Amino acid sequence: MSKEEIMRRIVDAIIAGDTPAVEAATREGLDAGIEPQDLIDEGGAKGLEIVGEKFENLEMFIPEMLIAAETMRALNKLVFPHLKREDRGETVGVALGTVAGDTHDLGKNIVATQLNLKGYEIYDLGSDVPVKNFLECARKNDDVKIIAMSALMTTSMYYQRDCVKDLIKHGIRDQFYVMVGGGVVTGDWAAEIGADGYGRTAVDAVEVCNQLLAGTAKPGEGLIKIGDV
Amino acid sequence: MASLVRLIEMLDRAKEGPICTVEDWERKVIPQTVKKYLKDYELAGTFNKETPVNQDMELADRFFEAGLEMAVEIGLLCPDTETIIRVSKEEILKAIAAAPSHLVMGERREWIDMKSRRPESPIPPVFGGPLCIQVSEDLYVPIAEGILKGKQVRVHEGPSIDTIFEKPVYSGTPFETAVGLRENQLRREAQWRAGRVGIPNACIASSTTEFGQLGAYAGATTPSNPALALILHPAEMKVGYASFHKAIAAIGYDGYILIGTNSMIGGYSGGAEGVVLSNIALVLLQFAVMQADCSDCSIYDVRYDSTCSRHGLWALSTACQGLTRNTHLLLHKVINQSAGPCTEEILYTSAAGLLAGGVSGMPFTVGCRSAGGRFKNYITPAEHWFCGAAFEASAEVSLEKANELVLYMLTKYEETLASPPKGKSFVDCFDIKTLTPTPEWGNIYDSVIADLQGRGYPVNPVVAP
Repeated sequence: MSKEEIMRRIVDAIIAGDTPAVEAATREGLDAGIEPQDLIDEGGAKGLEIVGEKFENLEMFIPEMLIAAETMRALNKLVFPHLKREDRGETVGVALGTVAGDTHDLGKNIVATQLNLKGYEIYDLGSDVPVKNFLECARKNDDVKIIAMSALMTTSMYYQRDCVKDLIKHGIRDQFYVMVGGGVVTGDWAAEIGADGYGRTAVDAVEVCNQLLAGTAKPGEGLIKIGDV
Repeated sequence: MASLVRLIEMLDRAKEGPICTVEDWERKVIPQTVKKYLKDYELAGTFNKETPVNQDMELADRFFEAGLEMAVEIGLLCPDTETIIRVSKEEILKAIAAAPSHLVMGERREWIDMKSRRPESPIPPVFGGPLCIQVSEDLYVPIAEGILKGKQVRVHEGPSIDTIFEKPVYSGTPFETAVGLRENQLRREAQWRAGRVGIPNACIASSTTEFGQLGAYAGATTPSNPALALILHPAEMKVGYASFHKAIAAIGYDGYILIGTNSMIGGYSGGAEGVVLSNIALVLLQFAVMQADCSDCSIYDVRYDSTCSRHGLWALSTACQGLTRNTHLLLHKVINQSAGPCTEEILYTSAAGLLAGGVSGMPFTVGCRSAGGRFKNYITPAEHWFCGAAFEASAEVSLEKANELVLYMLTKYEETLASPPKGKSFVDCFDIKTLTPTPEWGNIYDSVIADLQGRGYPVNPVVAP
């Protein structure tokens, strides 16, 4: 089977959210000697790009996006061991949730999906999450480098500030980037509370995470805002 | 009045019914059930971008039939217990028959009789305002007073404050209970200053948890002016314990239950057709499970966080038509504007949404979601005066004419819907002493009204001096 055909099967399997099919095609690709990085870039990532376009056009929806993200994870699991150590990258965990007193969940779920699609490990704490649960999750999981909090109400976004304060109180502010978002949250608010990142949309949130990790600023040293009006 | 006995039966079902995780509910149950009924009733692919105000009444009826069957199969998930509350078709039909076809609210000059409507009904629908847009404590009274000077604002809901005596109000804490009391004080002051004592109340605006209602509701509702208890669970096809708390309190004070959750285009129900279906099911379940006096199930397009996209307007009009042609239920749906004050976009999106809903039989809405509700103090009275007039004027427009008008309005804002203009804050485009718009905002306001009037949409705001 040609490389193009294997890539097409991977792309189709990602779009369909068909994990067994993506695993089979990936194994065949590895056996055929295709570069592991190509399987990710030209297969899985290409499929995810199409999924994103279909979401914009209302041809695919959040449940299908979640499944596509899981399918991509299955591909990564097979391919990562074959990558050179320097190419493998580090899986970064994100402790994600809607803050206490707030039961909105859709925006948070879209962010989880987008981050997942881009290879982040998501610890989804759900909605109505107390500040201490974000801290517990971050401390318990070695790969967590980012705490991401959504708030849709002004009375709940104060808990985002409390989280930053608690990180300082516990002397661990420099260990975790704090990213905030949600309907009522603005870049000004992110600056006021000392967050590291603000994204207006789910796509912005991914870019904020990427920039935080690629930058030289440590947690608590600056703010990246994307999509702010 | 709703029955506590009946509500306790539903609360019991929230503990004893079939279990389902939130994840399974969102990823499997909702999407699979929606797909099944779209297929069975041949509803997939029926969205028509040229008719943002749906013109096909047979289609609306078919959505209603499918939505009724879907409601029976799916029920509502209680996320606190991860249990499904199911009701039979007979229970739904009985609840629909028993639901009020009108609500009497307000006192003396502010008395209103909000009536059920059908598409192209000549009965003027009721506009209330503002939504729970956050404002500074010191601006609550002037903003609310200014809004209530608009005579077509007939129910008072917001705005909201997120501080109390300058301290932050934390959700789920005694601060929220206290803000309920504080909001009542400010609400009365604004109503008195505007000459609107006795206006119907919807509360509480400054809190979404049961704690705010604990502080506010007893002081806001009276036997002669029962308040609408705002009960919104923001996650799709779910009803949580907080909603039960509030409904029980509303029953205890003999108030009105205004309850619902939102339906999201692009979310668990899928596209526009899926959302029409799930929205109809959701509305029916609010009456059968929670004994709503009026349902509060709005439609959002998640790509724009608004109802006013082409898909959103079509879904809004079709869902309203399906429900109002086949029941006498009282419906409330928020329009969800996203542009800010002092822009023409906020007025054109308002007009499009209010006309699409009003001409489709929606009897009640509260607005305006100025600047998408994202920015503190980005709210002015002018857009509310406009909305009240635009909603009432929808009773004078036919479905065909409404579609023609909405297609025109879309040309005024569709391109900027993804990045709506923020506009200006209250203090930057309104005179706080005279409660009148600045010349810039006043000119925009007048020119949009003149434009719409010239095109046959009789928008005539009435504002007290």
